[in-house]
Amino acid sequence: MGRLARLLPAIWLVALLAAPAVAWLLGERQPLLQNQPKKPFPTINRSSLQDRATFDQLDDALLDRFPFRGAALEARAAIAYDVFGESTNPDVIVGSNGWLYYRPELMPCTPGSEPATDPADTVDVLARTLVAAGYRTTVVIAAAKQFIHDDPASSVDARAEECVRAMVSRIDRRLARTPGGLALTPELLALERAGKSPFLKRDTHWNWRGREVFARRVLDRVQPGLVDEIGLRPGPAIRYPGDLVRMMGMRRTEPDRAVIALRPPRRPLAPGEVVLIGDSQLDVSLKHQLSPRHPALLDIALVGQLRCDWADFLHGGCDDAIRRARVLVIEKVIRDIHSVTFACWRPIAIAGERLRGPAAKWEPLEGAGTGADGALEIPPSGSIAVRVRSRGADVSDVPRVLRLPVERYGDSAVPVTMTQETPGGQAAPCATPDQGAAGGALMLPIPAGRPMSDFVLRLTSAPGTRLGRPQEIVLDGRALVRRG
Amino acid sequence: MVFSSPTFLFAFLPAVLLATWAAPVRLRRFVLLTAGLAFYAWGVQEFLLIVIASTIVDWALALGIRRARDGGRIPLARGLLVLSVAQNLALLGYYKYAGFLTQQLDRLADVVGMPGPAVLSIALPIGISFFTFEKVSYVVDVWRGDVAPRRDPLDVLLFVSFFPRSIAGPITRLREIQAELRAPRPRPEQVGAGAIRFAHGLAKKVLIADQIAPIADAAFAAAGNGTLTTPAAWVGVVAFALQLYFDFSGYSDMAIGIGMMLGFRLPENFNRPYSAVSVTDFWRRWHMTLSRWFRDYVYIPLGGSQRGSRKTYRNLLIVFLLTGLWHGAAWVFVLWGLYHGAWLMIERRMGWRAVDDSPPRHAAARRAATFLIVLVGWVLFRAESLDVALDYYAAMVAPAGGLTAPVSAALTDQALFALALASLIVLAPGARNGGRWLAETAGRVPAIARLATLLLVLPLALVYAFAQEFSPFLYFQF
Repeated sequence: MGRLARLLPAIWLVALLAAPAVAWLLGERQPLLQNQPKKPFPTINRSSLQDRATFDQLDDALLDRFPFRGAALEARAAIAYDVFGESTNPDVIVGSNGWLYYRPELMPCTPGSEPATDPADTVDVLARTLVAAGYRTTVVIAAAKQFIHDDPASSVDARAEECVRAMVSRIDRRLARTPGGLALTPELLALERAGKSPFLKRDTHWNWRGREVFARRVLDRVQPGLVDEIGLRPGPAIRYPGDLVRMMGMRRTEPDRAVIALRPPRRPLAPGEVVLIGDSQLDVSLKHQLSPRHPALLDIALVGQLRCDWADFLHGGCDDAIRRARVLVIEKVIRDIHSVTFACWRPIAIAGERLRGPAAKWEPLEGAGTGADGALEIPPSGSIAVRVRSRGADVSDVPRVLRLPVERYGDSAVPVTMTQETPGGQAAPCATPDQGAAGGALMLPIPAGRPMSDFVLRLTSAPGTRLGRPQEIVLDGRALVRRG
Repeated sequence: MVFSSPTFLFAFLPAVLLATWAAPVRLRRFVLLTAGLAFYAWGVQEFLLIVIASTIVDWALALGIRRARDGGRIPLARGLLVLSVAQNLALLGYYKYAGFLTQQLDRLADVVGMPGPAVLSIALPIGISFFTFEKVSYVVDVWRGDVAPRRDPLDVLLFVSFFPRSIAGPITRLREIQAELRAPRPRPEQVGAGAIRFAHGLAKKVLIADQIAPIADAAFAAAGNGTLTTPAAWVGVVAFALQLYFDFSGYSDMAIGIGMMLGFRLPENFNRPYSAVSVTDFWRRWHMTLSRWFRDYVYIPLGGSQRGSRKTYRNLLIVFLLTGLWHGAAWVFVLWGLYHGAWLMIERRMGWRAVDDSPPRHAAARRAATFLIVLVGWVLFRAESLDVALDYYAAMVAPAGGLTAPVSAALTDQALFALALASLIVLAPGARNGGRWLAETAGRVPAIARLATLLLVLPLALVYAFAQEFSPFLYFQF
């Protein structure tokens, strides 16, 4: 055997090992992996060189920059998925026939991540308060794939799955009978049972069937008859890139269709009339242009309307738009239900700026009593525990919301903060945490069937701050205020 | 730096191989010395100067020992030898055992109601157990006259820092590689065989050991929280036995393969240990360079088996107590060492050692029994504490049905495939070390296996190594 032949194994080995470095020298660069920014190189100096973490950081930075790393991840994932039917990402579950599911969908029933208040009560008071404030309202909570496309092979945590399934069912039952609520799950389940799954196989989102159901129901809530006006229908075939396969490092598409509108509406809505607050399900259904030949539904049916991100909404970035709007669409997937329970006080506080109701009365539990006009003053200690007593029944079979107006601030204009000290019961959902605006009000929703006297509040502010007589607004599904 | 890490595989190794081959022969040792120091400095720079200083001291003392011996000043030579061994063991003792020792003294003081010493927490420099033994072997060999002391300190520094084996063996003696230290000249067939050996080792590590690891991890974690069932305990310990073997022998194959590509012949470290027909036989096949070190530098100097049964048993127990302690400063390792020492005593007493060339009677049964004995020992080796080990043993013998959920979750199809493959390799007939057979045997079947290794297994292993998160070799902790 010749010298070269004997060296061939080593030449081959070194060629494989050196390939990434050679490719890098030739200008090849590893694109971002899963859109994660590349880890930075560490600062190199005399002191950092004596720190083991510097070398770990250097390893990580090099790893992110080696060309072909993405190809290696893809090949590794393909072997796991195609050969063994397994996932390389702990967040992705492989079910039967290659169906993929997202493990964090179980988050609402994962210890430590449960929603702080009852999610069914939350969506109920949210939708009803907005309806009472005159908004044409759609509140929808999207069930995850594993609760529509039943697949025993995807089961990883039976307790959590059962818990989330029950939560989805409770929320949907409530949304179905709540004015302003929209329950999509029954329709999606019916499609599934008919063998027409509304979900993509390797993605967390709906396929064209699910998107069409969502678009039809939402657009007709935004403006009755809008769906027919625009000629909403399934459009051309497309290849949809799956997010769950991408999480495993693969780039694969699956067959899908676009949902399109044939024409703009005859009676377009005025700009800013609609605010859509949603996550990626809403974006994929309305905002994204999935077929190059057809504009996104939002760009044809809802031109000039505001699509507001949850990140902005959580921090008050959508408040002004909500004040100006006449129609609100609020969509969230079940895994992020805690975002709804966390931020629902914002639209309710905005609604509360216009809502008024009959007087209730304060019942201080410590310190001074109320004044002759029924107002409550923060005592010198700066804090007081109170209840609110209804003039009517303590319990009601429809939700109520209490408006607690701040009439005057104490010397230092410290905002009034409200915390719930509810012994032996869940806290009220969507309560305003604080109020710092002059003439503003705190809002305290009382879920249906809960005694108002259950809710003990601690109000904290500068001594002398005065809260006017509380007002009790019954959320019976009627609009109490006309908008626009 | 870890052999299976992308930084090593895709930057360091190809750069060092190409630089060494490209350099003139007389400069190659400088390339290798630089590479060795950089390899070691990657992450443990603070300890590098101590290693260099200690090596220079050994170099000087070795020269002194030789000069004193040549001059007939034996007490001086012995004194220098003791000094060298002491400085090596002092370093090892401080970094590896001071924490353990102060912890035990603190507990003892607590029992008798006295104030205890401050418990030291010292980071263990990677590979210290390995290169300390190599440095000791060098000065002892010089004292014995088995090797001439090196005049050039760079030779000793290169011997200690030679990166393929500096941090996890095989434990090499200077005399084994002294010819190559000054002018490494890899022969083409050696380079080719080294590449195959390296590929074989990498595949063992990333395609088998790393895939099996979650099963063992889950089982031992379950023992720690009291949820381990009997089937899970047995599956877990078998998985650990295979993981440890494929991980450590994979590392040794990679080290030997790199050594060959650089022109060095490193000693073999494994020879089908789970084919052993006795525990004595097992220790002639498992971590062979460690067994050899203890035999040559502890057992035989203590008198070996030449001074009667009682002293032989004593010597065996001492050697295995030290073997246990070498693996870690913890009671589980002490017990693990004594457990093996006890079995060696029993085999010697009962005539079960089976170490001659003739095949023993009931070889299959003896092999199974030996594997079972070794398996039971691995529980001590892997458990984080004696309590966990006792819980693990309780789960192995007290029947509790079903599979612990995390173990069941870890038994993915990939893990099961790797487990089955590992079992098949271990059970396959054959008398030779697989890596050596693959890389160096002539014939049609080995040639096809080599081709498959290079064209299929190596790219696959590189894909897995490139795509995986950090996974250190198990023996780095020692």
